[in-house]
Amino acid sequence: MSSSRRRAQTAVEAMFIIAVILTGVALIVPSYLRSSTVSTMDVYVRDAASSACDYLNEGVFVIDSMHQPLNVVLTYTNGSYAFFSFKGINVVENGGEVGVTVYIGTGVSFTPTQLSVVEDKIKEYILRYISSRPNVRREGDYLYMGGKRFTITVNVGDNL
Amino acid sequence: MRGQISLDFLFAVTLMALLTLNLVYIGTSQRTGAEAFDVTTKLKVFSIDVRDSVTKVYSIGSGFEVKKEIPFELKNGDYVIVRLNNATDSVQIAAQIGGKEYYVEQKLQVPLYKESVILLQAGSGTSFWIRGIYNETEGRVDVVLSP
Repeated sequence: MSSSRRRAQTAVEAMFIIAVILTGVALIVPSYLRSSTVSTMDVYVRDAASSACDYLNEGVFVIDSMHQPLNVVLTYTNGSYAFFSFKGINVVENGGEVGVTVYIGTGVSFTPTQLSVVEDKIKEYILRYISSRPNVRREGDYLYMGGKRFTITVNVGDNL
Repeated sequence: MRGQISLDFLFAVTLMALLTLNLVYIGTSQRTGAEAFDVTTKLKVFSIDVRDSVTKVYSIGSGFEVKKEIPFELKNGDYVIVRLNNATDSVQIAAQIGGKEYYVEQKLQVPLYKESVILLQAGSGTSFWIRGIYNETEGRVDVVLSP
């Protein structure tokens, strides 16, 4: 066998090994990404909710479209400390649908009508905040990421 | 053989570039957030400072004056409006800094009898006075803002 033939054979072997490695990567990565979609959204929602609480507690209006929903909440607590605290989230996964419930505590006593507006506006802020992330798409009240549909529910209750 | 080495090198460079790109992305997004937070925090602290100063001026009475310096450098188009609202007994501060609008309100512990507004712009200085002036006809202390 001449040296030039052997060299060609080495290249084929190398290609075979690379092909095996790439196939392995192609099989593993999508399934990994699928399972990490929900935990990524978990992080996004936590980040958005605690940023909403920080904004409300600080009480300074930033007048832009991103903070417009929270400014409505601030008009209810105008001039006094709002006592909002992020308590946690609950994620329920059902096939391609994921329901995320955000629990927020408050020391302000709202009327039932105000409370539903507050919940609605915080939810709107969370949706706006998260849809500015890359690879998240928003349609109406739903967020889509990695082929999954996320529904956000905000629950505002007593601080205790 | 030489070609193979350069391929490895290219691969390594690509990985490094991806890593750098990600770091730069995280860095810029964090910076934008931190800058907005910086302005709101300064405004909050400033509003509390003005509120406490108004209370002090009202308590000490006529002739007492406090000079307040705003914690920003006002560039072209920026403004800060400080308003003592006698209808709601509160200090209201509206500002435009770096093209973004902000608003903050603080409730006062003392009554205000007179509305007073001051507008600070680029070129108009960054400080103002909070003055206590005795109102003889009504027999009370008016707190007013003046340049």
